[in-house]
Formats: sequence, C-alpha cells, structure tokens
Amino acid sequence: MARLEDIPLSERKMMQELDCSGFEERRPWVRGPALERRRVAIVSTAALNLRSDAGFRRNDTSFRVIPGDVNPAEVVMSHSSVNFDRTGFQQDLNVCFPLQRLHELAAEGVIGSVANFHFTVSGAPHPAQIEPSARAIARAMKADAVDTVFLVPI
Amino acid sequence: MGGLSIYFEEEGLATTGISLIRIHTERTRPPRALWVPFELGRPLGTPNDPAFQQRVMRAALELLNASDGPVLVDYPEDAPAAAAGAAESAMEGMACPVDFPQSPDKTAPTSQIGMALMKEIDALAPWYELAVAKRCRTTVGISGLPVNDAGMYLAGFLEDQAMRSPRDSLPAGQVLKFAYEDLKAYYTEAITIQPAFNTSKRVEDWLFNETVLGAALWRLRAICRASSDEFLQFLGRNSIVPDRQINPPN
Repeated sequence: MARLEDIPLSERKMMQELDCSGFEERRPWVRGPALERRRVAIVSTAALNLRSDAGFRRNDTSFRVIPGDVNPAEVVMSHSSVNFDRTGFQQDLNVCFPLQRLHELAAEGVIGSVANFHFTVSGAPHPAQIEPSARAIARAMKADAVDTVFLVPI
Repeated sequence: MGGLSIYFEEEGLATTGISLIRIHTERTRPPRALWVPFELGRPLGTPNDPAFQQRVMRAALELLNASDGPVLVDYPEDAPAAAAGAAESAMEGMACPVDFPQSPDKTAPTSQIGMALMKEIDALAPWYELAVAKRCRTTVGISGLPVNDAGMYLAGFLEDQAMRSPRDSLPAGQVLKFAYEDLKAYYTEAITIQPAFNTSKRVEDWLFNETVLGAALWRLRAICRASSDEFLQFLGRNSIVPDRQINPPN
C-alpha cells in the first residue's frame, strides 16, 4: 500500500511534491558499537502521546516522551492527518511503535538494551521546523546512554 | 523521517529505521533506511503478528552493520494483511452484523442526525466494550470527553458553529477535531472485532458510507469548507474525510 501507485492520486501528488530540501549536502555517518552492545531508543513521527499529556495540535513541532515501561493502554494518537490507517494501531501498538518487540530483541541478545525513554513528534511539519525538538531529544537520549535510534514513520 | 535521522547522526547517534514513502527517503538520503511495502499507518506491517514485526525490525537493525552509506534497502516481504486484502473483494456486500437503529435520510435535518448519532453510539457500545476487553486497551480519549459527550458536541456543532468549547484549555475547533477522532476510534475499534472488517479500506468504507457518524462527518466537512474560520477550513480541506473517500481510485 505504501507503494506510490496504490495511493490515491490527490495524495500521491502531494507526496511527490513534498518539500524534502535542506539535506542535500549533509551526509553524517555514525558507526557505533556491535549491534549486541547497542542501547536503542525509538523515535516515532506518529504523534503519539500519553493520555496524561497534551495532544498534538496543528503544526505542533514539540515532542512527547514515552517511558520504556509504558502500559500500551496509556498511549493515544493525536496526529492531524486522516490519510493513514489507524485500525492497526488500535489493535496493536507495536505495529507503529514496536517497543515490545524491542524489549524482546534485547532479551534475546540481538541488541544490548532498551532506552528508558522513547520519543514521538508529529511528522506533519517540515523536518526543519522539528529540528529544535530533534536536538533536544538527542540530548535526552545521550543522557540516557543511548547510542542508536530506531526511527519509525507513520 | 530522513531529516530527523540526519539531525540525530549530526548529534553523534547512529540511526536506522523504516521508510514508507521511498521517494522522500531517496531525496533526504538518511544514513540507513529499510523501505517497506506496507500500508501507511502500519510501518511494522501488520498488527498482532510479533514474528513478522520482529523480522522487519531485525532487517532494519542489520543495516547498522553496513560499512558505509547511505543505505536504502527494500524489504522483500509483503505484509500478511495483504493476503487478507486479496480476499476483500469476496467480502464485499457482506452485511454489517451490528444491529443499528434506522438511519435518517442523508438530506434529513441536522437535528435528526444528532439524535440518530446518539442511538448509533449506544448500539455499538457492546462491541466496543468487547473490543476493549479483548485488547486490554482503547485509543479513545484524546478529546478528554466521554464518547457520548463527544457525539453531542459534534452534533451540536453541525447545528451551531458558534458553540462554546466544552474544554476551557482548548479552542473549540481543536476540541472538535479531537472529539470526532475519538468517535472514529470508538466506531472502528468496535467494528474491527468483527472478522469481516479485516482491512482498513473495508472499515473506512463502512464508517464513511454506512453510518450516521459518516453522514455527520461529510456534513461537517461541507460546513468547514464553507467557513471563514481558517482552522475550520484546514479541517475541511484534509483533516476529516480521507482522500481515498473523496477521490476514490478508479
């Protein structure tokens, strides 16, 4: 379905014309330790938030924190777009925020450990507008000894 | 997603992850990305299939072993739900098993839509409660309103767009958005407990074309598009009814 030809024409046109500029000459490359020693955090653009947090509003460029031991029943979604499926998320948080899978991979020794904190933003604004939040999230992750980020779009 | 990846790498954090829109990843060129052929909203492929989700995650994590990049790899498997989708056409025409009260005509006065909406919410309650019990969670709740109050607020807004916000901390338009998203979640959580409603398209077609809530949302869209309020115009343009309902694929 995420193949462009499966997306309705009007939405496809918007996706084809979306401004992705600003990253042309930027090629950072961080190596990091062996996979089985990495500490991993999830960052999602699904505009997920805890029930106790404020929901994301239009053009919201802030971020929310999801604890690593969160009860999935406490996670809701306040993304402004209606052009993606929410029924999968309603049935299983892991289909868009695979925290339980990440814990399983750590238990199996595939990765080293799971971060104490994970993060969500709304993917609706241009990435440049989210940059201050991204830098703040990076600082928080480094304080949590995270060395690897697993990014999940919606 | 690619832009965020570059910011994190610039901060000294290695990144990998999922790409859903391949052309966006090709343009931003993040260090490592696994393109998946899954439906938007399901970056790990399919709900309640831990083994499949794990395979996707492992494939994305293995990109961290690449010696240089950018690396953009295509995931080779379709989501198992795609197989269910193939059977979708066989299910077309199946009646909704929920016993709804009589819906008003689409040209009915707005006041009748409001009353019918309340009855419809009540009719779905047993299925919603069953879904919550089975899944041990609900995603309803972003408006902070009980679902009946969310329905009443939506119905009231259809009649009087100057209605006061039911929450002091949020403007009326934002509460409206959260309220109808809660109603959509309530309906879709309830109906997906039925085996026949196993694809997002089937659920969406039902919601927007066979329910009173759907009729109310189409009416709300028309009101918002005609409004002089900039936020309501935004809602009416692209934040109430999905594009594939407005412009169905041929």
